[in-house]
Amino acid sequence: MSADRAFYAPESLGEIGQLLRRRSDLIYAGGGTYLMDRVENGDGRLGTLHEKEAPIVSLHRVEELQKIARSERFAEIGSAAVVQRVLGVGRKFLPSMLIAALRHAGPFLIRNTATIGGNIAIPTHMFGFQLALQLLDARVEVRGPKNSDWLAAARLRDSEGRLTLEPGSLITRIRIPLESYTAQEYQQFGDGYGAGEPPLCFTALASVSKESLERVHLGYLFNARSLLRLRDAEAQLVGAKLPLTRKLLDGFVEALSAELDTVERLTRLQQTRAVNLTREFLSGLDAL
Amino acid sequence: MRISCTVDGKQVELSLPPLATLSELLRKTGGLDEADPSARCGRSFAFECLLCSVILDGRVVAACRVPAYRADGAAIVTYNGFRKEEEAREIEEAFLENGTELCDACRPGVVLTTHALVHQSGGSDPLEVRQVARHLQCRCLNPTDFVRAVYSVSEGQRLPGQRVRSSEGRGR
Repeated sequence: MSADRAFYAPESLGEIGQLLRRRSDLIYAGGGTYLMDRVENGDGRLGTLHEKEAPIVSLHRVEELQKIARSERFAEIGSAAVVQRVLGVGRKFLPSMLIAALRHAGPFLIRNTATIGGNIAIPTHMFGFQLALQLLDARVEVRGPKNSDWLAAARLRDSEGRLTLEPGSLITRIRIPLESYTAQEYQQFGDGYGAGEPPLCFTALASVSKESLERVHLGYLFNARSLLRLRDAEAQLVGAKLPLTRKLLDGFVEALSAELDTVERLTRLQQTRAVNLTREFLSGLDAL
Repeated sequence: MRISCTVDGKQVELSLPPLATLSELLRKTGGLDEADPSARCGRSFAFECLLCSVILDGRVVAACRVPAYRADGAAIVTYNGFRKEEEAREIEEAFLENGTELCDACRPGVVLTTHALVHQSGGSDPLEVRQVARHLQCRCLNPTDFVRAVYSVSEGQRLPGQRVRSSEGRGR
């Protein structure tokens, strides 16, 4: 690594804007945990950017990006808020499955450094937090070189799981709707770094009204790369009376199994777990 | 870049590349002694070693995963500094009372992590404590003993608003 690489620690979004006007190939560092991993391993996106000597812009001094605010309908979290702080503050009002996803964002020491913006902006991995944000219909504010815009969290990745952010774009805030759900679930096996068992994140939420399923969302993340949603199959369940009939349950699992066959490098264990967790969640709705 | 910080109460100032790690900074300043296992940290993403755990502005972090620039203007406490405190002795005693004599390899990380669990979450969050315990890989330490020791430190310190629970619920 070159010792004379430019480094900036701006104190406001205005200063970041000024830097962006000069050049757009900035590398933003939230907590810097991922950056340190890339430096050590010398591969991935940073490896390419090394050659270009792209400047590092640390966000740790930008107070605007560390705010956590709550209104009646939304929680807004600055992208440079540290994961452990979001866990501490958000435990009282954020959806429980989002809290569970954040707990799995990394070991305790890493969560004390890593930021939630960094968690969703890692180019080579996706974490369960991103999947949970999608299920909750969260939005992210992205500030580009020319303008800023609120995007659905689902639009941060393309169908191949690649990050869609333009060079120089910065995630500034995450807006999470605060609604009440009858059931929420988050389960994770393995982790995003490939340590331990094959990674699988399963997350689900449902709202029940007058013994009918008013809303149901299920999401799966395999190997920290392949994200799966079954919107059409979910729509088939909406409005159904509880308990769900065997036909409806089997229909959903069949649709899931068909999609699982298209996911690359899926192990038999991951497949079985995804199906079992789905069955367990949907049949558990009867008891609510 | 120039970095100015305090390490175990001593003011230090040095030049480092922006992507140097906090471990490198601490080795250069003597905060992580080369003879100490803390200086031989490997990779803590899997949370297997804990060797380079340090307190950065009140939060325990893995120094090998923190860029050195984060230290600028910060106060860093290493295990070498923390072990002079009464609390370090209390934590080590709690482990002894719960059947564990910490080895030199894991002592810095385990003591500092226990300190963090007690002060950041009051040691009262069983999910948090068990999650940390699950990642501990040292042969001298049994995860159940770790959980018991953290609870006993929390109880001993009687932190305000703290309550020890033993059951953990699902995310439902």
